[in-house]
Amino acid sequence: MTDLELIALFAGSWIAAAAIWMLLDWAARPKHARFRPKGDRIHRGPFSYRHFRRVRRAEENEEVRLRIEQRYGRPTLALRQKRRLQVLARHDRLVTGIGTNEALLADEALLGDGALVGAGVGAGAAETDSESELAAGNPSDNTSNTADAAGHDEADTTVAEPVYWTAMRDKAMGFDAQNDERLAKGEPPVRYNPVLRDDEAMAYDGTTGAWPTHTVDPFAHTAEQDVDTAGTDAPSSSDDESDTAIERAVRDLEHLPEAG
Amino acid sequence: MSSLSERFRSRRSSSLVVAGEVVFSVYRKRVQIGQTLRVERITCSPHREQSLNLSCSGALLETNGISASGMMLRSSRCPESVDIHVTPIESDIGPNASGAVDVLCWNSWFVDDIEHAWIGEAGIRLGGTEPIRLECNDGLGETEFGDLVVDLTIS
Repeated sequence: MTDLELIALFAGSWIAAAAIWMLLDWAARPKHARFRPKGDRIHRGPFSYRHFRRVRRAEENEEVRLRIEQRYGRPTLALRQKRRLQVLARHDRLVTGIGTNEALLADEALLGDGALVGAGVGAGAAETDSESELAAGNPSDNTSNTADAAGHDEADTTVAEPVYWTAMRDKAMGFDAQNDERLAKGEPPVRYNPVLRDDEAMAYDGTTGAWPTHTVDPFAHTAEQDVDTAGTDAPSSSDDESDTAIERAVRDLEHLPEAG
Repeated sequence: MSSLSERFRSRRSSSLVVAGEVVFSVYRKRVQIGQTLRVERITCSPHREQSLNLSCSGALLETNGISASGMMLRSSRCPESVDIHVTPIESDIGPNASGAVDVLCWNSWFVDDIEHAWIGEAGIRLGGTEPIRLECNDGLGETEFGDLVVDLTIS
């Protein structure tokens, strides 16, 4: 045999031995050595664990997850944790002041909390990246209706979030002792949402606080006509309060689909 | 003594027994897709604006040309009697055209133009079953369950 044939025979014998070793190792591996996370070990027996894994694998399927969300109105655990982390991160940025208003608006689009006022694109800026425009804070792209000629927005003078919550403590909102303590510390109040079966905190958008809501007012577009005649059931409001109601009704219209 | 909302929160439940009566934080009613839910406002507190909220998973609520999974009927805007149709959802995996869904009802109120719900002494008491009478109490004032009284009729 030539040297080359000898080397090939030597290498081939080692590869064959390794393949046989791997085959024997796989065949002889006991079932109890299979990796199971600690959280999955509480099961009555092998059949319940297999059922548990089957259910979890099914929930990972996007189609089933969509059906679950439509039927029960709540996403799967994985998605809810992701949204919760996003909400917490956004809340931290609001409290610490880290991040510009534009970055926070970008977070609004990410969370889908509402209509995002698109950055106004000036002449010759059609090719500009919208995110870089927002980051630059170009006053000419300020689309707020309250911006004055100098480009300064009314929102620039908003109250810091802890101050807002502390001031809310003086108003009779019906909060309990625990929420009073949170307001005294400058933290938003929390409540238990029985629809979502979870706690939720009030959110502050820079001007006012509001509880998270997923309901639509189907009669919002009739608010303007009803301003003059409303009052039989609601307390009489000043002109400033009615303007606020009209503004809110107009904002609600932005979320509504076009009437067919 | 802890408030109703604190007790709901500590028990992680939507119903409690208070003085021998069942009080809900959210009232659930099983309806069939295609049925119509009539909401009639009987009384409303003159001190604060009240609102009845409805939510449905697995179907859409349609009224006044608007379809949504959650609706808010404010006492200052909506008429005293409102018909809400339970319609199926058109989705990529096919419409859910049949079956029963749960419609959730809860009350809310407005203070300084901020909507509040499920805080303080907020709760719903069942005043009748035919039609379904929901006697709601907001989180402020006395717990008399007279801040918002509505009748629900399913047809």
